[in-house]
Amino acid sequence: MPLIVEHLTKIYPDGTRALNDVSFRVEDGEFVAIVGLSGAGKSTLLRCINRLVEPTSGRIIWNDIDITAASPQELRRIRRQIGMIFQQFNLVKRSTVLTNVLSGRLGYLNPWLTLLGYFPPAEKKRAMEALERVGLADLAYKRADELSGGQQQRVGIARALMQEPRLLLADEPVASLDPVLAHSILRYIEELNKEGGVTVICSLHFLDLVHRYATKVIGLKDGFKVFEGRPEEIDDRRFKEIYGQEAERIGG
Amino acid sequence: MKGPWRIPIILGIIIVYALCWRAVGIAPSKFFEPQAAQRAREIFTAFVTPEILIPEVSRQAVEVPFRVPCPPGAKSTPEVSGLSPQIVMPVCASEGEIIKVEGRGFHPKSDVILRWRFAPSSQLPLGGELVAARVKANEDGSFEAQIEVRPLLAQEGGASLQAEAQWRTGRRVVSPALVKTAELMVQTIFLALMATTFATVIAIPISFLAARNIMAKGPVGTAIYYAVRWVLDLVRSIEPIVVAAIFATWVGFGPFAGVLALTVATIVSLGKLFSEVIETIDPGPVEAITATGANLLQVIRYAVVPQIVLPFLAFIIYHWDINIRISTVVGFVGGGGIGYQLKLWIDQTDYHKAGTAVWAIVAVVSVMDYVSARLREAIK
Ligand SMILES: Nc1ncnc2c1ncn2[C@@H]1O[C@H](COP(=O)(O)OP(=O)(O)OP(=O)(O)O)[C@@H](O)[C@H]1O
Ligand SMILES: [Mg+2]
Repeated sequence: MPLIVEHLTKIYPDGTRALNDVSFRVEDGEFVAIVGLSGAGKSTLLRCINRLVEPTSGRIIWNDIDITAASPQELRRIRRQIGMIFQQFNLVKRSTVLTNVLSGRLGYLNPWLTLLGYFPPAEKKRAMEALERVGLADLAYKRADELSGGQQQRVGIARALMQEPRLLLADEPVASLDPVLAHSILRYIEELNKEGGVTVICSLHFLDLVHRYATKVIGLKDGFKVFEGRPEEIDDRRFKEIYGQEAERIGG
Repeated sequence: MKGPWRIPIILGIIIVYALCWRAVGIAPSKFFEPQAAQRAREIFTAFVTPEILIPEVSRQAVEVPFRVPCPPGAKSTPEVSGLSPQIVMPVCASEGEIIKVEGRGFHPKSDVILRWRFAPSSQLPLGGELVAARVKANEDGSFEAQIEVRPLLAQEGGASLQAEAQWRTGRRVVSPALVKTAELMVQTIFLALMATTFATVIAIPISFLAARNIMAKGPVGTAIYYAVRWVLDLVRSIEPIVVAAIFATWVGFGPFAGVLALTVATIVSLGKLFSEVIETIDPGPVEAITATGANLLQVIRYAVVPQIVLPFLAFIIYHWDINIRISTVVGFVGGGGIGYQLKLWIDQTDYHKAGTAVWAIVAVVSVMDYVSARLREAIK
């Protein structure tokens, strides 16, 4: 069941037009890269999909449900199936790794019990399995801020795994990491995409990463969609359309 | 400041200050008036010699019933009362007579107070006492005194004469003022602790309502946010001491009024400080937990609370410390604790005792200052 974005526009209260009439369609199992200069609207687009940012107009339809029209309860049900990872990892630094991972499950659990800090043993087991998948089982009881950047992002992935997501939004997940770590993180995401069948929408800065991992690219410039196609279709002319006339190609 | 305005402005300032000087009644000469200097020396000496240990005093007493006038048949002749010590005096007399009281077997060289004691009656519902004479016992413990039979002794409840001897044992004991100070100091610390605790419980929910990043997401939330902020600012402009005076007239003088006043002041202050902590948290985790489909309370519990517990704790400890200090002040206007006692002692010109209280306050406040600083350091 596809994700359909129709005429999406976002104007921030200060008047910034971050997205202008953006429309596209993502099929199940795709790995979509969102590219564009800083300020092009990539983060805004990703956050509109799970309504962390409230769209100004337009519709977002997923599994035949209009996310933009969902009530607060419906929205929480939709969100729990959409994993999200962030450039700054967004872990709760003073909590343990395990608690961070478990918090990915909150949307599925009895709210009152979780407020008391209670998680059923089965969920703890699931969290340990998620940590094993990202190779961090032995760090479960460390404080999140004691981990390196690459490890923190793997915790972020484990937290998203807890949601058993069918869609994963990733906002520059590797921009704060060195190139070697970037590949290791993206391979975890690729594995989810290829083996778990999770649809991935991921904003990326480097074109070589786009070519290596993405099956589809959406190019944004000043809030307008200026490109939609396969990675290999990005030639010099299209590159300049996305990144501006003065830009030089470095990777890919 | 340039140009033609300079001189008028300077003149204006001088005039304003001259008026202020007169209005406030500043009179440096008052420092140097002879009585003032004398009083200052007295108070100062008392403060630097607080009452801590005092000489132990022992007492012994004999009491003899006395009738005025003599009942029919009774005679105003001396009789012996008590074994040792004992007094020899008539058991009755008529008004205005001078009687002789002799004492034997009292502590040598002790100070003896002879006092009339009245039983309760319709005339004197609470009974009463009246010092008749003060004498000193000689080496072998005897004394002699002439006292007048006052008209009041004829009252229906009857009266008696008590001879009480007091002398210093040469030992020193902890002064009752110090004991009282210690008790009240503990009460003050508990008072501050209770106020801080109540205030924390109330300030936490208020602080969330006064945090822009939590509330200002829709029109209703924004309205609540501004309303709560406004109330906090309003109440904050009232000094704790004024609040204490109000509560003292409302629930009566005492520690309870102090607790209430401090609680109000602390709610307002902590509410504001807490809300500032909440407003400066890292929004990233809030976003991440919201994105998992958690509800608002879960987001607060898992993304906000871990970020604010330690700063909150630091502010709570800090306020306990401040509250101990303020509670000594609110005590002055009827808030109980050591402050109230200090005021009583000052009013009674009992400066040695006041000195004891002042030193105790200084000691406890500096210890709390240190402890709270170390605690806050430890939880960083
Ligand atoms: N909360 C906000 N209020 C006002 N303007 C905003 C807000 N968030 C983003 N913007 C503006 O919207 C535009 C798009 O921002 P966005 O963060 O989506 O870009 P981006 O492509 O993710 O950039 P980057 O690569 O730097 O992360 C920018 O001009 C930005 O300044
Ligand atoms: Mg961004």
